[in-house]
Amino acid sequence: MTTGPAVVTGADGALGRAIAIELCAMGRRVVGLGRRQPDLDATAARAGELFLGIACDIADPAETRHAFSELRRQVGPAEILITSPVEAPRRDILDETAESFTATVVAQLGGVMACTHEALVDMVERGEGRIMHIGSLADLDPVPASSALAVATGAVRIFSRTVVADLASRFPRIVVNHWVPGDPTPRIDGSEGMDAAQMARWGAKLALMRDPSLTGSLWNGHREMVRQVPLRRRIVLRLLGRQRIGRVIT
Amino acid sequence: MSGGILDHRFDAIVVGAGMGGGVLGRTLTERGLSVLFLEKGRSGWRREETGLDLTSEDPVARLMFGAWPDPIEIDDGGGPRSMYAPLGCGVGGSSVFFAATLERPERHDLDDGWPVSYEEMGPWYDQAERILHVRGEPDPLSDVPCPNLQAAPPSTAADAAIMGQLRRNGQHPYRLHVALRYVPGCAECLGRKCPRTCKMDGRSAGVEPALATGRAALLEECEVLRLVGGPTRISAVEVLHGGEVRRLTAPRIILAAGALSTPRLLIASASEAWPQGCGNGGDLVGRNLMVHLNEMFAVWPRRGDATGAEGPSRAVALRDLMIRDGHRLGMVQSLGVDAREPEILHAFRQRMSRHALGRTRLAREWARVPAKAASRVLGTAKLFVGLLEDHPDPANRIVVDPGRPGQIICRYHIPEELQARRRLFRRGIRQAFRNLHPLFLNHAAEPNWGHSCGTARMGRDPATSVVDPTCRVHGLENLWIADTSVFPTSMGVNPSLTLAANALRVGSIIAGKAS
Repeated sequence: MTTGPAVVTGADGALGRAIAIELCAMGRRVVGLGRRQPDLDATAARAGELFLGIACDIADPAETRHAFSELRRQVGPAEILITSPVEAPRRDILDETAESFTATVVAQLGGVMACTHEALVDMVERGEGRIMHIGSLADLDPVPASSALAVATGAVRIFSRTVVADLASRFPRIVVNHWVPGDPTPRIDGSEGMDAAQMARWGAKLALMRDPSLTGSLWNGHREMVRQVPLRRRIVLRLLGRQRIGRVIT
Repeated sequence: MSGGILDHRFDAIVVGAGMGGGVLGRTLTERGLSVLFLEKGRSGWRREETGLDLTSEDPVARLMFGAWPDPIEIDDGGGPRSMYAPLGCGVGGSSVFFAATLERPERHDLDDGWPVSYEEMGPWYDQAERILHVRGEPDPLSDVPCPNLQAAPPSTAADAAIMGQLRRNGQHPYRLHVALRYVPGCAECLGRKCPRTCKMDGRSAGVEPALATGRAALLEECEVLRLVGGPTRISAVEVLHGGEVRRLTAPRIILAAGALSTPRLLIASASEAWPQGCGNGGDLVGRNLMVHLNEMFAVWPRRGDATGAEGPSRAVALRDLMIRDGHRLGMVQSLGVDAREPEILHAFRQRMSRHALGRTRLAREWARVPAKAASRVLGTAKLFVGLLEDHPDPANRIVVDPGRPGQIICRYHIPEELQARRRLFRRGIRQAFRNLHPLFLNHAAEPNWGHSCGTARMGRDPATSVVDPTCRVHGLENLWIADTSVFPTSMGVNPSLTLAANALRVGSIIAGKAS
């Protein structure tokens, strides 16, 4: 394995910060991206010397490109990319405007796309890498006043699958998966309770796993979610002892 | 970038950047000529490890993954049917996916039917084995020295067990000749793209060294539509590139689009000067299409001899069955994959699909049970293939539908003569592999469309051939063919080494004339 950094987006927020701290504690070099310099500094203060914060609004493609060229120059190309969900205001659909809605979707989906694309530029050169998109299942049963965020996070999960469709057969050693922290729906409110720390540990561990069979997998908390198969097929697989059992992070 | 390429004047245009075109282009650039490669597919990324996808039906995805985008149409007399052939489309062509088997033909393979003798080809085989870093053991039944053949790495226990049993059966097995450099980290990329410069193919041993000379350029996603010219000369190549039809010119044109596409381009070039197609005055272009028939079988080394844990048998070759009772058969070799449950399952399903009931979804699911049982009882099998030589038949041919000139259409039937040789071959294989429990995995004849050849045959007489012994198209002073189309016979061995050796020979002739 090479020794490039892990790039964590949203390192100025609670989840991104917790994962960055966790990875640094495991001895990994981490580059944290985030809009708010003071919050990045707060992450740096807790993560230690292995952490490098770069202020960057990933919703702006030019800023993202600049941040990645900066981190390439300072600590080498990304070996791992972890994208975090953005924090977006809860808003009644009747209070949204097309502009405010689009801005949220661009900040979330566009930001994930921009970072993934920048990381892939280096990963396809090496033929290996690790990408973990963090999302939620908020799109499956949306709570009120979450239209833009639910759409954007659902879209990120679709985006993960499209990346897999394009890359998996060509670059089996670029491992791409999707992680939903917590069950059923995360409420990471910035408080540093036990749950947030536990989730960050799971997320960090998952991001360090490099087994190509992880590509395309969806994880909820510490459990892999296995795709449902039709009953008849399930019976046959059971008879043959080949039913898929979801993996677990211990 | 491509604007610059299109404005530049090159000494030669090579159509198709596969094994033939790549190696020929490399020779020309190394002899000081400038070369433009035209490739229908894309160059892709060097670190890709893509396997050849035979299941996807999406032409965009297939091109992205380097596979020929469209199904080929085959009519064996029972009406046309479509299938995806194991054809690449991209830099390196099909060869980036090949199993790297580079075997010399036998002396008689060329001396009976080729206008170039084995003696004349000898130095080019030597050179091809050098630039392709071929490794293996000399064939114990052959007296031809292979000075550039490098030693193979040690056999796996499974290979050693199989070879031992074959010797006890009175056979003469040897280590298959493969174009792998075994660089550190080598994963033996047989059947998939190699992410290192380790497997030697049309890309790593052809196009890349050609580009490295600084005298070559590559135009990807460039589809050649037809050749344009007068009675004795090609004046331009008409291409579709970037949505635009344009004409590219060079003093020398070399076709290396493969035996299924080169004749298609020639026929599609029909014009006032060439009413039946370019080089087709004798109505021979596209005819004499040959393939090999694959006889696939699994063998089970005795338990205890080989655990199977260390990977597939990949390096056993056998030439005891090249000629039997005066009939030409072919060589037998390991395929480089284990027959685990999925392969056995596939074989079961193939057999079942001959019956309507066996094609139902339920039956397909339940086929898993016997397949599971077979692999439990028998352990891990090693897959082998016998390559049965096909003979030229003018009725077996590539045709062009003027409404769909880009479509590969084959008329190919298997004559009774070939079926009889199949039976002889299978009997021979059963005998040669006795005590290894050979189990044939195909019942119906299985043409290997990755080994197609013969559709623009080489010969001295323009009445019976398309190209002369230098592979220049009869009657045209600046058009050559450098793919397997020129093969007058299909030989009983894999075509790639002969393809590369002939490309080196033709490249040197073209470069010699130029200087």
